[in-house]
Amino acid sequence: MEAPTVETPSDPAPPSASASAPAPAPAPVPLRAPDVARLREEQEKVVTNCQEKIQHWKKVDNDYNALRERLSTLPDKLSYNIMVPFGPFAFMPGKLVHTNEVTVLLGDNWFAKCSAKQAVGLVEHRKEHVRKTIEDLRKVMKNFESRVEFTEDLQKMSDAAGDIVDIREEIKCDFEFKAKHRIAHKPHSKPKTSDTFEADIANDMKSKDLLADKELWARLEELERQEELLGELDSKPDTVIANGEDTTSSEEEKEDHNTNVNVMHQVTDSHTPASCHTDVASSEPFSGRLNSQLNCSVNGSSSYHSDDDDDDDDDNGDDDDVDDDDDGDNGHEILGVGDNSIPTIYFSHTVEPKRVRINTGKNTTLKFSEKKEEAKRKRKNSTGSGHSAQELPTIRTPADIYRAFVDVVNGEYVPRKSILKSRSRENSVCSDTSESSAAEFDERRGILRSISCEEATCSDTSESILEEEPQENHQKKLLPLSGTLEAFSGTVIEKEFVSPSLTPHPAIAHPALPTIPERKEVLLEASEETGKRVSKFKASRLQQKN
Amino acid sequence: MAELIQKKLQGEVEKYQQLQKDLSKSMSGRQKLEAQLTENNIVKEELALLDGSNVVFKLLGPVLVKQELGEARATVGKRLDYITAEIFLRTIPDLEDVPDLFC
Repeated sequence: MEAPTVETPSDPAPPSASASAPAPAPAPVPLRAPDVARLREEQEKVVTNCQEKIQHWKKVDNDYNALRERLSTLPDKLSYNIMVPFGPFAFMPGKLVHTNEVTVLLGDNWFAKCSAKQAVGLVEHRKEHVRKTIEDLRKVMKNFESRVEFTEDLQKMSDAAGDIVDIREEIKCDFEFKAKHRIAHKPHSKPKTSDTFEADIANDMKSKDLLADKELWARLEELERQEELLGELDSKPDTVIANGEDTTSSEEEKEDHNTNVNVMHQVTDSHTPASCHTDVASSEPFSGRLNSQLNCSVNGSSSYHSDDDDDDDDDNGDDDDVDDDDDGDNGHEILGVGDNSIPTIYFSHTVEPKRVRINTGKNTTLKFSEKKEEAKRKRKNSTGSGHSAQELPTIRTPADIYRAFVDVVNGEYVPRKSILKSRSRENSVCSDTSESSAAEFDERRGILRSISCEEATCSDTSESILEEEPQENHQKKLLPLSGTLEAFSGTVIEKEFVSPSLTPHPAIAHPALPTIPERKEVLLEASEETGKRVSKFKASRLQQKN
Repeated sequence: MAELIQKKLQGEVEKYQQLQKDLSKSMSGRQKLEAQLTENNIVKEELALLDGSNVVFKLLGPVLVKQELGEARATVGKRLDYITAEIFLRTIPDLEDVPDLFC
């Protein structure tokens, strides 16, 4: 038996009730155009209602102001000669006496005889109340205005093609991603076409404002996703942490940024440059948690960090993950509407959040904080700069990588058991707990950066994602000072780029720090004025040849 | 069979409408009480601003009856309590009834 649909006219309840009705409910209720239209009407009604009330209260406020003026001037004279109103049509000359005595209506049939000044005090008290009411009304109005906007979008969507919505994302080339997690790339797998988004403008309605809004939505979605994903990544190795470094691309990363596909991580992931070569070449930025303007078509495989960092098959993006993220992120534009349909949602990525939660592999989840990273780096640089400058071994084979990961214990070099796992929190990228860890990590990263050479690591520092913090300048300067072209340290972001000279080092980034070099790689590639896209591995191989 | 269902439906619709009416009635009553509550609050605050030199009157019909300040304050306070109690009494059972009856 169906429940009867009786529409109630009562005002405050329906707007909120109807507002919640089309919201993404667990039971998928198809969005009907008339429903959405009605919702919009209701919301607009509320908005206009609020506006009227605000007008009314403003008038009241003005009246009180006038009254106050009158009260202040009234006791100036002992008596005034006035025309006293006699009924609705007549006046009579008379005198206004006892000018200081005012009988004030306090409300609810209560009166009080006061002096003029006391009356002014009462007026002030009332004005305060009026002001509060106006404030509340304004808040409500704002709230509903945003709701109306949203409903408008919803309406457009539903108008266009019923229940399905097309989500389109303008993607420009050369954008930069900060990959939070890597997706295990299957070797030689092609990126899914669904990952590529077309820049398209279907509706004339899509204005820049809409895009901006969408960016915000996209960003919110991505942030949420990051949170979720971080929660899911409970058993990640440190490689993820390193990847997370890249994601520290600041929240302030703007769309203008040269966003480059973070190909580096592929290099770091792969143990053999050759394997990740092909897909790296495409080096597409992956959507999902990346918050930069997508310039290129998204090729999720290439630079997507995933939980499968441990895999040797990291070369190619794991499209599934990418898809999920993409869909999730991109689909965030409109609630509850599927993709692949006619009404178009314009989606653009925004800046990534700064904070990344990464599991260090010892049942700890550290929060990656860029500020702490900077602090670490500063400390590291201040203390161990000389040390880091020395250790820049050339890496030609995977074994070199392991050699780089050597712990200094009691003055002796002790090979670390696993380069994937942080020895302790000290060396983790995440700077959650200890200050020292930050410092050490910075140092280590500095080393690794130099180690992990990609074809364009030199300019990585410059390519790094832009962060507005001044600390970055430190980083920038320190890296070039090291003398070698270092891989990008995830947190440093710059827009301008140093001349992209290729490093002599082979382009094998340390897998433990995937994100740092990768992002740099991506950045470098994007920044290269040649505009030529060469995969990291290819470049490194070329270098090696040279 | 169809008629049975229709009758049932009819009954349900009527019940629902009745509930809606009750709801709106209690809503308006609640609004009135809320308005009185705010007004009496203002009066209370303004009486607090006055001092003993002011004469306080109460309007009873066409007559302004002189009251004492202390007395006025007490009266207003009592009225406030009464209104709050009314709101409390009248609102809660109504809110609870509607969802129950709806199922």
